[in-house]
Amino acid sequence: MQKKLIALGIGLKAQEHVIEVYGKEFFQNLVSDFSNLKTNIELFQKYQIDFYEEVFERYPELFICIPDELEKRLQKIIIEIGSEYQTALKEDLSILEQL
Amino acid sequence: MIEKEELENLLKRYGINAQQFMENGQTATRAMDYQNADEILNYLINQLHVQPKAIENSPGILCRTTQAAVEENYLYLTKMNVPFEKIEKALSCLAVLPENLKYNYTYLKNRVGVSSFIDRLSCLATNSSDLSKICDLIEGKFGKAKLIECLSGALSPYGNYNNIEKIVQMKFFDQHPEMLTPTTLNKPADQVGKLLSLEVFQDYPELLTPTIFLRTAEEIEEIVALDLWKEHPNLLRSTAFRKTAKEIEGIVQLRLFQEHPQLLSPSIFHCTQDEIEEIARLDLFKNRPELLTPTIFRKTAKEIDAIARLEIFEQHKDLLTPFVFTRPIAEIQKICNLKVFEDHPKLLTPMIFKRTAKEIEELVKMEVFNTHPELLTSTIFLRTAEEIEKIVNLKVLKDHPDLLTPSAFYKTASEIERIVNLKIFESHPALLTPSAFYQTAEEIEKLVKLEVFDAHPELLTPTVFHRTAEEVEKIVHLEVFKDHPELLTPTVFYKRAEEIEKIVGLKLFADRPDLLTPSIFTKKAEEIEHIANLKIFADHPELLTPTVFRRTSKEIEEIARLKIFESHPECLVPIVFFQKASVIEETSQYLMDIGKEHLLSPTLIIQKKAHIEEVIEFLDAQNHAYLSVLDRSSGILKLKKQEIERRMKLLEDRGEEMVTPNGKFNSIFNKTKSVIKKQYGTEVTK
Repeated sequence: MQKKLIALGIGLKAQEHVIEVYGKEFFQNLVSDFSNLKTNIELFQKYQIDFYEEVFERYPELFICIPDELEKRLQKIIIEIGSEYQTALKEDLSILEQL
Repeated sequence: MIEKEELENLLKRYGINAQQFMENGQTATRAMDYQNADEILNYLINQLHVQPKAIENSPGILCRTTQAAVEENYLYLTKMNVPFEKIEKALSCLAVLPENLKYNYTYLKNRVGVSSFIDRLSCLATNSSDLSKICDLIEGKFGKAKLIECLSGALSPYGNYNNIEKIVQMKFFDQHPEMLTPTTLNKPADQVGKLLSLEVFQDYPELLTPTIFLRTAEEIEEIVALDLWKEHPNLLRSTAFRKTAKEIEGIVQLRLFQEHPQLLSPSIFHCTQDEIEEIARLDLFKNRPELLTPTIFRKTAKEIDAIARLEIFEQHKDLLTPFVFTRPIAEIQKICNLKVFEDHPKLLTPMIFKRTAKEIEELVKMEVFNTHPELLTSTIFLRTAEEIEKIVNLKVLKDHPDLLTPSAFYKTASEIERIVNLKIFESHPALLTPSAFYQTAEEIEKLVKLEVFDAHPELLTPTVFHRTAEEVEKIVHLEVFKDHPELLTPTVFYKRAEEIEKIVGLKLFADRPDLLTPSIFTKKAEEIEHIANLKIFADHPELLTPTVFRRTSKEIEEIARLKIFESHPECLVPIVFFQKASVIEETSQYLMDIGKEHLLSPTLIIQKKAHIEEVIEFLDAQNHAYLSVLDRSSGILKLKKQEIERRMKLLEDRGEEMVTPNGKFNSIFNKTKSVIKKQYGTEVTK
């Protein structure tokens, strides 16, 4: 599983971060539905949020969402922030708390 | 000689079932004397407290002997430290002349060791003058192991050297030594010869097993000629020779088998008709119909009932599986009483019954589990300690340490080597995960070559090893995936085709199609329904999302019952079901204890208390006032202490304030690492 996550751009440090903050069982539950997780990662990539590894590290709960629902919420935030949303999010990741 | 009626009354007086006694020793009763029998029974029952059942099983104990001889023999064996239970199981050994018993004991002790005959004490009752000749004959031709195996048959009170010699010299046994068993040696040589030359074994060679020696040649012919084999060919196995033709017919026609034809297996011939009927009447099977499998016929109704009533099965209902009935009751009790399960409750799974109590203790104590505690799971019970030692030291597992997981114990060391060295893993290294050990090397090769993976390469993941190639073919062609192609993901391979159809067909999904996601296939249909019907979801239907199906119903109920959700119902959202109840409880209790109840939120209570506490104590140590800043910017708690420290250092170097004028923590704590690098000219991760 570790290798598969690395292949998706979620490095070992980010994985260990989640385990340390949330515990191993939470992490295993999170990655157990790998196809859901992968689709959500692809969503972040689709919206060019290329720092999704850090999003994963700090807001792993976002990657549990049903992809359709996550996309709707992402779109809502993007509309609220405007075209500079990537820069805004990089400057303040806590915006994602609204998700 | 004792009259039948006299004997019945005598036995009755000592609580012995006379009918059973006489069935077991029709010949023996002819050689009994009333006075002697009474004295022996008095000694056994009133002084030694022998179970009446043991006497029913050994009628020979009352023949051609005296109470004085029985007592002398008993005292001698106890002096030799032979446990009472062993003597009780073979009482007939006490019926020989004391000097014979002493000679036989010493001779066998020196020749094969006490441990070889302690469970077959009846061999001490053999004729002393034949003893060494019989041992030389068998060991000389077949070796010591065969001698030990055949001790109880070769050395019995009725053993006869000439007969045994004739059997042992038969050419047939040179080629088939496995057919030479205690039962073979107890048979007259001419009968053995007649049985072995039966024509029926040319048509059915698989029936030629030592069980044939339980019957005469005529009886075997009568059994094989029965009509019922046409309808039930799977029942014609050598086990059938445990019964007569008439008994077989009676058993197969029983009502139980009309109602439950799945129970018709060769193991039914381990029981009598009465025993089967008694088993069928047990209440246990009304409550637990899934236990009604052919393995129950390895036990009597009384034994089944006694097993089911064991305390451990009252407490852990899931431990009682059909496999348990294949194990001796004494062993089951020993296993259930093991202390190791107090220290390792997770090991308490039905797999424990694959090993003896002694083996379990040996396994759990293995040194390898000190260095690899993650390997200490119930799969260890699939192997012996010796096999595990071999597996953990395999070179292929040293080269691929991520493969050394509890799944490795599904296979033997040589099977692991074969699997890991399969060529297919050179071209598909991502498939080489511990799941590969669910299948054989041959099956893996078949699976990977399936055409379906040409059209759907995304399905070729290690999950596929949960199924055989045939099963995968069946699954991918299911109708449901034509209508819902989005459900065809590797997760479906957690289930068989029939199970997938059962899940998809649940009424729940007709009402709530949004719950039908690929992850649902990690659960059984019954469990899905049970979860959806939990009270918590009736009270809070908004909580019933696909997320909850990751947990068991017990875990969901544990989470829903947490006190925190009584005082803070707003925290009860689907995401909390990703965390363990104990983590949520500890973290929320900690926040309340330090007066930060107002910070309670779903995303915070799913974090570990140890992490939150470390960060809060760190901030408090830096400046007590930071604790009130936390109320307005708790997002800092998503960072680890070391990360906060590094960012604080950057602020200090740049002379920036930790807290902004609006009372929040500096925005550096919300920035991405790349932005920090750009703005502060240095990496934040070191």
